[in-house]
Parts: sequence; structure tokens; C-alpha cells
Amino acid sequence: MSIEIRNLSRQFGSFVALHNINLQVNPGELLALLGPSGSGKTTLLRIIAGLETADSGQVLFNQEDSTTKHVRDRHVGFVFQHYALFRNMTIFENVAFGLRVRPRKERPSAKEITRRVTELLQLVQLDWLADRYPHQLSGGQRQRIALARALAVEPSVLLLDEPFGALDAKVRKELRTWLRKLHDDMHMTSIFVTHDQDEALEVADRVVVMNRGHIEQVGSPNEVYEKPANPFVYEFLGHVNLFHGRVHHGQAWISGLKIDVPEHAAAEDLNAIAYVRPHDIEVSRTINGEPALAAHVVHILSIGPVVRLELVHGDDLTQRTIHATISKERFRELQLIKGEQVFVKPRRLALFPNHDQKQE
Amino acid sequence: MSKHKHHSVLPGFNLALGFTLLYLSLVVLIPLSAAFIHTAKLTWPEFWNTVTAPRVVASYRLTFGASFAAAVVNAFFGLLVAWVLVRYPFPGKRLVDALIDLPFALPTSVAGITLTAIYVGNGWIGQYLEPLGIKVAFTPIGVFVALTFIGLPFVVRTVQPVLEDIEKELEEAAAMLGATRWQTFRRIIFPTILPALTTGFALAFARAIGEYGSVIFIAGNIPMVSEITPLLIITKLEQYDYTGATAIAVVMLIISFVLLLIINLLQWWIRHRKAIA
Repeated sequence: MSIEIRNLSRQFGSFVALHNINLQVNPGELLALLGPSGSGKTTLLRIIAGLETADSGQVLFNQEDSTTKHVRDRHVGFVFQHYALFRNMTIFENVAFGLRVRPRKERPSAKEITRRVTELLQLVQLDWLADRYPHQLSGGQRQRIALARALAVEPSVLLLDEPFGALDAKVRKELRTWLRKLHDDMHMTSIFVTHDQDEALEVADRVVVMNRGHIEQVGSPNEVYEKPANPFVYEFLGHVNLFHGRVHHGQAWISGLKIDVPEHAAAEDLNAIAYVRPHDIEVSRTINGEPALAAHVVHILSIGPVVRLELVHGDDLTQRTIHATISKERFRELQLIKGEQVFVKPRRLALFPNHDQKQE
Repeated sequence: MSKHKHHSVLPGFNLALGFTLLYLSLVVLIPLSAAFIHTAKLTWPEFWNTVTAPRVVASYRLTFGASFAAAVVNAFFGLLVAWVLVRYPFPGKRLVDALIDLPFALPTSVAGITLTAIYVGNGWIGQYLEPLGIKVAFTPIGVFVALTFIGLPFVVRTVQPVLEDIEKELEEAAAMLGATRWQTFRRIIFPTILPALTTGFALAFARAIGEYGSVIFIAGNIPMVSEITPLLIITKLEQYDYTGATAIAVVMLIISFVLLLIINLLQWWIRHRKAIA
């Protein structure tokens, strides 16, 4: 089922939760709404679900206006961050709930309900817990039951509100992979909300980056990571080093380094900020003829496949920290020790001139 | 057996238990056993005749019947009041919320006199009920009205916090799964508040059984019709028939104890029906 959102706005008092949102969700897609808290991502999801109403704008399911449709009639599955399992019912009854509350004419027979629920519990690999109560389950198990419960009504759209937010790191990773597989098997359109960029980039087909009620960028995980549309997206996705500098006629001066930036050839002496990802920082022991920044090593973290370096550039007054990530091999080559001096230069950077700023 | 004495992280178990037992004995058990010991002065036939006298039996029926009816009504309306107070914002909500506690704090005799004044034939409400053939004051209905009045806060105050604790998400989840408002209430909300509701019911019931002050004014105390058991006990005391009074008291004690036990078992059952693994 395709979902279209047209000019959607929502305000809570003076707080603008959503401002004129337009979004197209393709059938069968797994979409992530990514943003910091207060960015409006959960409000958007709840409006799509029908749990919240918009001040203006439309929500269309398969080109059909569903803005005023009741929650019950939307046939949408919803998974809550804190599971929202029914405490007074067994796991089996929780999953069966959506089938049991159907009007008598549409309700499957008791045998059919048992079959369907057992099937769903097998799908989430928890059929052995059917007779337990929610409080006897771990967080990861509860969330899988919540998913099974949402799937019981055979929704064509599955919405998940920070589904793994309350779980510990390991379970979270497991469930992520599992959700991706489940989505592919079930042929649904799914949207999930998260504030965890790794989660969004790893699982989703497309990522919608939101901030303060606006959509900052929509694109594949690769697009938003490699070509962030603006400083916000750059800072929000992954670690970055931030440099302040100036740009003039295709050349940038950043912390005393002159770097060619041909895409900004038209810039006329503007203030600019530059972002460099830690893995785009080149670290060497000698200058090699090219301009580079002198820095010294203050911390080395060599766990896992890469080595993270914390470097400090400049004297006591102007000192700033630079984070660099290098491969294990490169680290062995360099044989760095804490306190040593190195030279760094950005291999690649993203430059955002500040056009609004007046010349000083 | 282990050589080491196991210490709990929570200190003072022995002291606390000792104090609890002493306190409970002084305040509850000794006075109650005194009633039993005093009653033991009677022979069995004497005892039986005292506690099964027609006037006494009629008073049991009224006391327990009216108390039960009042507690049932309170369970319904108390739930409704708690629901409205928790769910809907309205002007004067805090005032209404404070008013609920009034029957707790009001001297029972004041409540009794007020209720009587309202419900007598020429009172505010009585004047409209009388032409309809409904007499409230000085009848069993009056007893029921007084007991309903004093029991209401027990239900409201036990149900309210539980109702407040029900996450909005549970209802949203039910709606997303296609449940109607009524189905959500019946299958999700009601089972959740049922233990609290039975507690409130038990408290209101227990309070009504022991109620004296507010009832005697409105009841009219007509023997065989509107005379409650606590009043009979007082009457016996005023006639210096101490053993007769304690005999009736003992019967009341036993019935109350059994009823509360049943309610507690019922509650235990409600709670454990869903906690069994």
C-alpha cells in the first residue's frame, strides 16, 4: 500500500510539531523517520496511524484520502516503544485480541484463531511462551509479541514507534536484522521511527531525516550518509569534525589550510563551516610536502577493526580536538604513542558557506 | 543446616514483627477476645436465644442487606465518579475531587441529621418523593441512603489511582487492533481495575456494617423494620445487659469476618488467576 502525506501541519500550543510535511512512501518500502527528540517524527507516525489528528493537510492510503478515517478502519499495525501488551491476558490472548474483537460475522472460528496465533508465535519464535503473561517476558520477547499482535490483523501498513528504543544494545541489533527479514517476507509497507542513526541506516530502504518539524532530507541510507543535504544532516549522521573557516572563489581556508573547493567557485569571501568524518582524516608522521595541520595524540582507542585517535591541534589558547579513525594496519605502520606529534589533513570534506551572514 | 546465620538486607525484622504483634494485640485482639470471653458467661441455650430473637435477626438482615446493597451501588457509582475525575477535565474538578472525601471527615451524626432533614416528608428531597409514595426517612431505604453516603469515598479512592495508572497506549493499542470503545473497556480496562474495585467494595461494605452515627437518625429505629444491629447492641448496653450486648457483637464479628474473608479470597483469586505461570 502506498502512503502519501500532503502539506501536513500540527501544532501543540505554540510548539510546531510538524510544519508543512510532504512525503511519499512507496508500496513495500521500509522507511525510517530519523531525527532527534522533538523533531516531530513520532507525531507524524501517530497521525499516519490515526492516533493523532493533523491541524491541516492530508494522509492518503493508496491515493484515497484517509485523513478523517477512524483508527479502527485504517487496517494499520502499530508497535509501541513500551510494547503496550495487555497485562491481564496471556501471550496467546494478546496476539489473538485483534481477531477476537472483530464483529461476529467477520470473526474467524476458534480453531482458525488458534491456528493463526500459533503460526504468528512461531514466526516470532516464541510459541513456547503462549501461556505466559507479559510481565514474565524479557523486553526483547515482549517487543516480538507486540509485533506478532500487530501482524495478527494482517495490516497492509506496519508502523513502529521507536520499536527497539527500550532494549539493550545486543538485543537491539538482533531485532533489527530480524525486522528487516520479516518486512521482506510479509510484503508490507513499513515505517519506523528512530533516533538511532545506525538503526535507520542499517535497516531502512529510505531514510527521512527530520528536525524541528521539518524534513531535512529524504534518501537512501547511502545518499543521506555520503551526500548530506545540509549541516544538520551531516552532524546528525555519524561523528564529524567541525571546522570554521572562510571560502572565496573556489578556495577555502580552514584552520590555516588552503583547500580547493571548485563547487563553491561563486562564493565571495563568506564564512563557512566544514565537516570532515573521522575516517576522512589522513594521519602521517611527516608533512610530505603538502600543507597539513600539526597535532599531537592525546588518546588512542584500539578496540575492534579500527583505531580511534583523539588529537589536539594548536597551542594552549586555540587548541581544538580532532577525531580520526584509521585502520589497524595504518596504525601499526605509524607506531603511534600517546603524546607524539603527527600531521593531519582532510582527505574529503563537506563545506557549507553561510550565505546569510553579513561580512564582518 | 548452615552454620552461618542468614542476615536479610532489611534490618530489624524481629523487632518490627514483635512490635507489630504487640500493637495488634493491644488494639485489636484483646478487645475482641474480651467480647468472646464476656459472652462465654452465657450458657449455649441462653446465647442462642439472645442472638436468634426475631428482633435481632431482623436487625442482622437489615444491617447486612442494606450494607451489601449500598456497597454494590457504591461500586457502580464510585467507579463512574472515579472515571469522570480521572478522564475528563472540567471546571471545578478539584473541588469535586475534594468533596469526595467529605463523608470520611464529616462526623457521622452530622451526616445523619443532614440526611434526615433532607429526606423527611417536608424536606428538600422528601417533599417530592413523598407524593410518589416513596418514604425514605425512618424506613430501611433511609438506612440504605445513609450507608451509600458514607461508603462512596472508599470505592472512588481505591479505584482512582489504578485508573490513573492505565497507560493511554494500552487503549490506543486496542483501538489499532480494531476494538471498539466498549470492547476496550470490557477486555482491557475493567480487568485491570477489578482488584481495586473489589477492595473498594469490601471497604465500603465493612464500613457500612459497622456504621452507627449516620444511620440512627434517619432510620427511625422501628423494631423489626428499621433497627440496625449496632443500635440493638447499644440498647442492650443501656439496659445493663452487657452479656446480651456482647453476644450479638460476637455474632456480628463472626459474620463480618467470614464475609471479609470471602471477599479477600475472591480478590486473591482475581489476582492469581492471571499470575499463574
